[in-house]
Amino acid sequence: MSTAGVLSVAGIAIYVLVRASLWAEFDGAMADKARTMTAMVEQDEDDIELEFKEPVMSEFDRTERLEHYQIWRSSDQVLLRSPSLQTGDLPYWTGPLDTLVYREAILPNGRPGRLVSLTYRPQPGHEDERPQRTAVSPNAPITLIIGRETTALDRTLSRLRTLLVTVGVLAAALSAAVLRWTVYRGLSPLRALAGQIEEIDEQDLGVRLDVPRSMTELMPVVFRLNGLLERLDAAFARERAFTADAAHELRTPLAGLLSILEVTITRTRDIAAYQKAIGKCLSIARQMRTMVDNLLWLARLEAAPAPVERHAVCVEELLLECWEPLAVRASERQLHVTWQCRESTVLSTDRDKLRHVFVNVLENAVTYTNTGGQVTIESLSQNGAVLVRITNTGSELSQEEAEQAFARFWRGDSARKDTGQHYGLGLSLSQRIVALLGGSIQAESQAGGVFTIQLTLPDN
Amino acid sequence: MRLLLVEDYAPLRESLAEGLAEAGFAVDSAAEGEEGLWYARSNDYDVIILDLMLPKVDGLTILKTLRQLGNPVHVLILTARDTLPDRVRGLDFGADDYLVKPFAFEELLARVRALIRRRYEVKNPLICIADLEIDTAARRVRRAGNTIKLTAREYALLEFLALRAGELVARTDIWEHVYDFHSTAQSNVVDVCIRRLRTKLEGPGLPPLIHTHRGQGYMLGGCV
Repeated sequence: MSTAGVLSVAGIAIYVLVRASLWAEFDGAMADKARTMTAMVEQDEDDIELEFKEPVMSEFDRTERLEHYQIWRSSDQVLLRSPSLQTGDLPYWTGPLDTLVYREAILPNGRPGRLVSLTYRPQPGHEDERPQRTAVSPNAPITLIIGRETTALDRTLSRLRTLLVTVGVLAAALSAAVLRWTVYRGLSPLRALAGQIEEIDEQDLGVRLDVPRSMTELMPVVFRLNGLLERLDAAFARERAFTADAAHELRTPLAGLLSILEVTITRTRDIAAYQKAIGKCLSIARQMRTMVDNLLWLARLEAAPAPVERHAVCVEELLLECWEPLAVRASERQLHVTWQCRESTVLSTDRDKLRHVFVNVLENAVTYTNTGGQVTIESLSQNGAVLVRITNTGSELSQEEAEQAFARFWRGDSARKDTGQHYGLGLSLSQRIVALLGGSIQAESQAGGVFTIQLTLPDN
Repeated sequence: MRLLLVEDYAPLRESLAEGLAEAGFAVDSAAEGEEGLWYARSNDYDVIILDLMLPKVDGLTILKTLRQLGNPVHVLILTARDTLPDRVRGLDFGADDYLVKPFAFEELLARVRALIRRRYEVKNPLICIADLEIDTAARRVRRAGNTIKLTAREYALLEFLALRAGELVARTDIWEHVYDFHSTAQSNVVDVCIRRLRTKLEGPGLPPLIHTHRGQGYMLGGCV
């Protein structure tokens, strides 16, 4: 489009310039002729003479590219006319003295032409022949009008127009074709890229897009896309690892459950053996329920941000409530439990979610404390937030491992002795829930196996 | 037949050990990789049942170490990881079989029996020696058409001798393959068991099947 525009403007400009110069030349030639003729016209008495022989100025007497002249004294007195005019008249008008005035008109032969009118005082005859008359009176002005056909010029201009339009149209068409081809060629790396992208599915996110180094314009896009692929690949790898871990964590206790039941049923046993088997199955089933709960929580939290329903919650009461079912296990493991809690700290928060966090954290403490070890549960107010700190002894984690404890399915190596008893989901889930409640959670491992989980809960 | 069970999940390990022992196997069990590797290197097991995700030393490392040491023991991998790459990797590391958790206990038993047949190069689960028939799948023993009831230990001993029928089997071999790590090491334990087995198999009027090579061991069937 723009090429066509540029071409038309250029074409029009060329045409206007050429036309103006042709006209100027045409007018110049007419002016020269008029001036020449004024020199040739002499006045003798009242008689005007043209001092040239007709054949000398043959242009006034031919049939092609015909030129005419006519000399008037006044509008009704024609002094001379060119033979080419025969009896016809050129249009008559006058301008200021000694000034060329141009006009276009239809010539007597019916063809378009251009006329120039020059009004001037004719030269007297030669001084040596008629010296006295010159002195008597100045000559009255006469008007010379020269007409010239413009057919040839019009034809030239018309040819120029046709040429310009043809060249313009051809050039526009050619440039459009070249442009299309160039764009097509220029976009071929983009098409190749699209092809590469189309071939990628979730199975081979490891591939990276590749375009020739020369395609510098595409490099930033390819770079960004490769970055995106890398992130997607990592996300998918995480998901696959999570699924595999979840499968492992669910299948192992399920295998235990089935194995206990199948082995028990192979033969008739005494009641004590059945009771023992049922007890084991029940404990496994409970662990699996916790695990499935955690998985569902995690899945739900990841699918959409869960709504937070805020109520007034007393932190210490909730801690006690969560501790109650764990107290039996704690005393079985001979744990020393110390409560260092304030009277009652009321927070506006989501009770169910906070309970889930407390249960997870307290359960971890009961599970991982060494037998006969110490568990401390603290709550305190600090800068408008409530800190809940749960400390236990018997940890074999380094500070580095403690920081990793929030990764999904992470368990310290020593904790692996309890496959199925503890799932590396609890802390990861707690972290998410606490973040949802606007708080934070930290794990710290100190010398002497002291492991602390600290929850910071804002009071909204 | 003596098995080693390496599994870190206590309920599964305990119940499997119990079930396998009841099925007549001598079972040693380990809860983590280091202990498992130690057991595997110190005894000649017929089959090792190996979990992959273990504390301290993981299952694949145990497998690789054993194979590098040239240990030909038959290994059955027992794991919750069931993706194709996992299974291929396990087998390519030198495992003989692969069972994904959860599994049916019966299937585990059948696979263990199959691995044992493979070890002793016996294809037919029904072993016949003269008029003695041992159905290793059903663990049933018949002589001259009469079913003979055996205890788990007696059956294990008979099966071990039957798998190597016609071969002289050393007393220490029997000790290693029929008794687990925690059995009381009494010099005459094997002899006592052989005697009981003989009483049950070789009734009045029937030719003897188990031959004693004094100071060397025993042989089932074949010529004396």
